[in-house]
Amino acid sequence: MIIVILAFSAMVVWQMPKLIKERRWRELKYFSIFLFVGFVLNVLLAMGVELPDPTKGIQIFFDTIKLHY
Amino acid sequence: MNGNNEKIKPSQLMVLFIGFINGSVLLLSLVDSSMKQDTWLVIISGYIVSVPFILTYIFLSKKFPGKNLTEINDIIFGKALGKIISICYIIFFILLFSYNYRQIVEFYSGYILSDTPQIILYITIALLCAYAVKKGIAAIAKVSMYTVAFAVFVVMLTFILLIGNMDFSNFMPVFEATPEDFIHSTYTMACIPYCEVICFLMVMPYLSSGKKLGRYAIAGTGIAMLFFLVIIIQVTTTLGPSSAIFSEGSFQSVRLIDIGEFLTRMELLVALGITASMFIKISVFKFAAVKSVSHLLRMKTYTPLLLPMAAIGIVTALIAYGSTIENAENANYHIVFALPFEFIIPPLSLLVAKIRKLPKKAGESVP
Amino acid sequence: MSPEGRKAKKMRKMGKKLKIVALLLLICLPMLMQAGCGARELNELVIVMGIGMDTDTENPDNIKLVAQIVLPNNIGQSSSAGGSSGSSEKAYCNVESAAENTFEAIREYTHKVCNKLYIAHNQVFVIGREVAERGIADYLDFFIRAKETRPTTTIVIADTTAAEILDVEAKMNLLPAINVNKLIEAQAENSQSREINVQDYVSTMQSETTSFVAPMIHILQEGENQFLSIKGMAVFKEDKMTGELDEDETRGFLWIKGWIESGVINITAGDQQVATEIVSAKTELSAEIKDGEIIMNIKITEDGVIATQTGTVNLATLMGIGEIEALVKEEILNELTLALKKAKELNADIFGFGEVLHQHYSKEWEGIREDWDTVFSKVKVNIEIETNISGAGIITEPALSEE
Repeated sequence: MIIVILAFSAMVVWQMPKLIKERRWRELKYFSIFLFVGFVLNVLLAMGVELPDPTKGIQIFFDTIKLHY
Repeated sequence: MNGNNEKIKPSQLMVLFIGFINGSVLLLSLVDSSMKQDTWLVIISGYIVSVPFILTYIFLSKKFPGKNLTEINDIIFGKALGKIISICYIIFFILLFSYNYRQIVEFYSGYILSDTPQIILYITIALLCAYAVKKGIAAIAKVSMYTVAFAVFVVMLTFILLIGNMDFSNFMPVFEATPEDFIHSTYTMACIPYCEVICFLMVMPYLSSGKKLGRYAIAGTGIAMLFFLVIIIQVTTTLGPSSAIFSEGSFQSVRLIDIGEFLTRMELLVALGITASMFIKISVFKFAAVKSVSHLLRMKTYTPLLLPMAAIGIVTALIAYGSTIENAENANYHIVFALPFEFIIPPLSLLVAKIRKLPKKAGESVP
Repeated sequence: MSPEGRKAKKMRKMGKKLKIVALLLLICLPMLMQAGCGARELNELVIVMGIGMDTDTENPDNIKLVAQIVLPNNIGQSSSAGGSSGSSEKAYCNVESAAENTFEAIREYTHKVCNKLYIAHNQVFVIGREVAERGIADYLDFFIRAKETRPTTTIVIADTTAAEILDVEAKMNLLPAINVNKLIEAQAENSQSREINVQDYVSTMQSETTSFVAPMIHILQEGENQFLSIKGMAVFKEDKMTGELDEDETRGFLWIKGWIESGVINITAGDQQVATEIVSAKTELSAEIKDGEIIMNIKITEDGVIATQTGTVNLATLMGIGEIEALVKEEILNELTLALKKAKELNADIFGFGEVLHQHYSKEWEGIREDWDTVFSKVKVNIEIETNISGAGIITEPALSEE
């Protein structure tokens, strides 16, 4: 948990000032979006919430159309 | 683009190809467990099968010089469909680089630093690859020269040291595997090590010249195939039938080196070699993923995206792909999942491009 | 300085600070990985040199492990014991632990010993006879799975119990386990037993037809002293020990496998004896299926020298050597026959005939492999031996020779 918070703060500190200074709003926007998504996912993981498994989804998909080994 | 002011020479691309494909060496044990002593056949047949597809990628890149995969998709399939296809590719790349994260962290966890919490390993690799990608693909290409040299050195050295342990009768009987298994394994080999070079379509724009591209790509892949062959010969001859049960045969066979009672524990070298190769693979995948995202979103540089995507990659690596034991099962699904990306869409793209007579010459209107 | 300049300077300073912080973090990260997470200090390690497996007399279902742990502090003392009064401390300590399975037994040690056992330096697995007869696969499984185990660790079967073997004081080296290991390696000089390691075990077990063999170790009592002796091999059917090969039978077995390195062949020519030393040997093994019969063709080429002869008639002559070669051939044939007979008696394919068949006649083998137990005894063997005496030491005739 602590690691997650530390890591993400580090990311913010590293990129934010540069982006703001150079007024790259678009980059800032997307950076924040991805950062937020990553942060939320990591926090959820750190809290032990069971996140859905995308590969399981793929497996179920292929199972239903019966196209696998 | 950020940090990529230098171009890559085609010969550097070849080395990058080799370094990239070498990163799949951990996969060999997967194929080995079903093919046993016929694994060497599959290495060769996988290569033969993938050559036409790799040529497809090269043609695509030559037809649209200086354009990367997302741009090509836009042109061929139109803005809307092209974007959807690009997004699918992005998901593909992200899944792949997180899969490789997982492979290398599990390898370390299982064999070397088993008491270290995995998250620390993930962060270290993520930081390393993020830094590499930040420096640009040209830098990665230059580094891959060293990693390939090191990996080749390790493989040659262990091979020579194990010559005393080799029993070539372990290759008999040949062709014992069923045709079913053979096709399955060939497909797996073609799909995972060789044709993952589809992601190099994001790298192609940085080439200094497109001449002889096909030759370099095929040669690079061929050299990587030889690399795998040497490893498999070493494993099959020294471990014999037991290579099928060891989860990492190349590692285990090196443990047999016991010369003069001081040249033992060489497996560390192998671990380093594997790490070096995987580093290149992960970095290239990461580059492809980040570049395509940034291109789609029309960002000027991809640097800001590096770390967040790495974080997402780590999460994906941890939640996806089931447990370690399910990993092998998962590979079976993965190869079907990869089917469209590596084998269907690229030839299709070429076809569509031909039909629509793309790229239009300058001056004519682009649909 | 202009405000922009000052700002730029500040940014640069901050940039520099950040870089230093980042660098420090980078250095700390690998340290986090090493120091905090399970790396074991040398003085904390409980180094195990030999592991023995016996049955637990109190609880017959259990496995009892005997671990020979090094006591590094005592190594110096033992060597200077000599004539000094007082007890000399042993450089090792045999600790026992019993549990239902091997991993539990290993972990049980933490009740008695200050840390987890470190088995990466383990030299040998000594398996007691009772355990060998009960079946070793279940107990070796843990060690094969563990990443610390070296595949080159040797396996040896004790005539009695492993605990006794590991307790025999070694005169040459300090640690019994190392002594056992070196003893095993020395068997190459007599070729009446052979080093077998964990990798051999795993490979042999993969085969459906081949039987596993391992060297046997005994304790000899010579007056007050106890010595260890390795002679012959134990034969396993799957993972249970079902029989033994004595010295000559082992020799025959090694001939067929092509594992002969050096040794003595004794022959009698009239009233004289000649002992030859095997210098090199080569074996070619192939299979043939003729008229529904399985025939194994064994071709052995041996090179030897005369090591000693009795009597006064010089046998190192052309005729003499011819005679000797013929007699050596007979002796080898004898050893082979003994080995084949014992193998058929025990119904154990120790030579790997099944695998040879598998490699060259895979279709036929598919049909036979289930019945290999019955088919094996019917296998015919064709033996062809070529012997050669290439020298007789540095004298050309015996010191005391007939005129």
